Amino acid sequence: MSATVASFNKTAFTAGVTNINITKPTGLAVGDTMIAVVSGHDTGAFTFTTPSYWTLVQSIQTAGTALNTNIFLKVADSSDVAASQFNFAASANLTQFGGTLMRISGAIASPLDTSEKDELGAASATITFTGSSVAANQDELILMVMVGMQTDSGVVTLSGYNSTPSLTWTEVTEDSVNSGTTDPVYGIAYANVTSGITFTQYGATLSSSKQEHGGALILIKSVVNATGTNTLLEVSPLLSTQNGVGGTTGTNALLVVEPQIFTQNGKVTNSTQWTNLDKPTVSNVNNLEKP
Amino acid sequence: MSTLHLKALEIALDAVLALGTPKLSFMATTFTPSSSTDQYFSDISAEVASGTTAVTLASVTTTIDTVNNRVELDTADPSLATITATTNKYVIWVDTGVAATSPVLATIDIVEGTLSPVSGTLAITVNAEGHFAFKAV
Repeated sequence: MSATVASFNKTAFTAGVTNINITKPTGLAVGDTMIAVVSGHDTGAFTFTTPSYWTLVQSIQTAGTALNTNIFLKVADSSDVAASQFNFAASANLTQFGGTLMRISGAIASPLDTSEKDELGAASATITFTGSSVAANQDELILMVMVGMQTDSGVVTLSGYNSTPSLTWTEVTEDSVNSGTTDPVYGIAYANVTSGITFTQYGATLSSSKQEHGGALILIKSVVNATGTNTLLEVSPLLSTQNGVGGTTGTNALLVVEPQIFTQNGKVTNSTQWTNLDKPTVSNVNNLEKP
Repeated sequence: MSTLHLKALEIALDAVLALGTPKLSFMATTFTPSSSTDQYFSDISAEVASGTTAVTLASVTTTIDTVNNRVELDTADPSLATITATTNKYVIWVDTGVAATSPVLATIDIVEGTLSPVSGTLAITVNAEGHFAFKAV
């Protein structure tokens, strides 16, 4: 979300005052960045008072110290949201005193990145400040504040806000007044820039060529969102090849058991056939064998 | 045909997720994940992107994708608001309450590369299929 000028209110140049009130910008919310540009002219030196809790970003002084333009910054809190207007004061009763208060939305909590100012006394219709070195470190809102004054009677206007590198500049507002022999003018423009841009020049065009002038660049850090996507992380498990050992289905031969019969040698004893046919008396035989 | 059963993979993934609260952490661009040694969140917690905190994942679902033959993990789109950080990847892990026992599941690159929100919202639009998947082969 790029920071942008969401709304603003302006108090026109007013003669003979030491204070101005600027009405609260529409929609101011806690966390918004408020930037006030107050500009004044007087016959002698003067300063602006930095309001409590505000930060002085730049003070542009031209025509000596007779034409001052200060840029203040504050991050809105609940008391600011509750307020109806904001007061800015000068150290003297000024010939002309006016200002613009902007509501910047989409800036970060510490919004100020960097700024620079340039002041020239030479009269020229074309304001060109070279040698700028402000650089955007991220997506940012860049504000250009241009101031001028002519010494002839007449209203001065600003146009042709430009820069190197070239950007599309949008003017927020400008204010000028015919104050006789000292006619101040200031204008505010903005653009969005991305990281990596370094400005080498900025400028604008005044409607009269008899002015002293000055300018400032202010870089306000935008809130940067970031959205990513993912490709589906797919994990494929590996099924390992399994080496199997196959069993063999076989048959068996019949196991035959054959008993072994050993050879047995037989012995036969033949009896002697007696030749005496007479059979001996049994009793005599028995008597002889007895002891 | 050898088959890895998706249901078993889904049950296994669900079991790991049930160990605690599934979370997402954005990691520093210097973080190089190690698939073999980054086991628990304590192994990688020092590499979390500065300025970020862990995101509790919502709508965590595991789904069997029969068309692609895989189990997918999907969640609602995670985001962190109002942060300033630099990151190019995120880790999905399961917070058991103890970093040393909180398993790390996956480290996933952000397609767009390095994201650097400034006081802004860092978000991931999760791929339509989810964060990661186990594909059966």
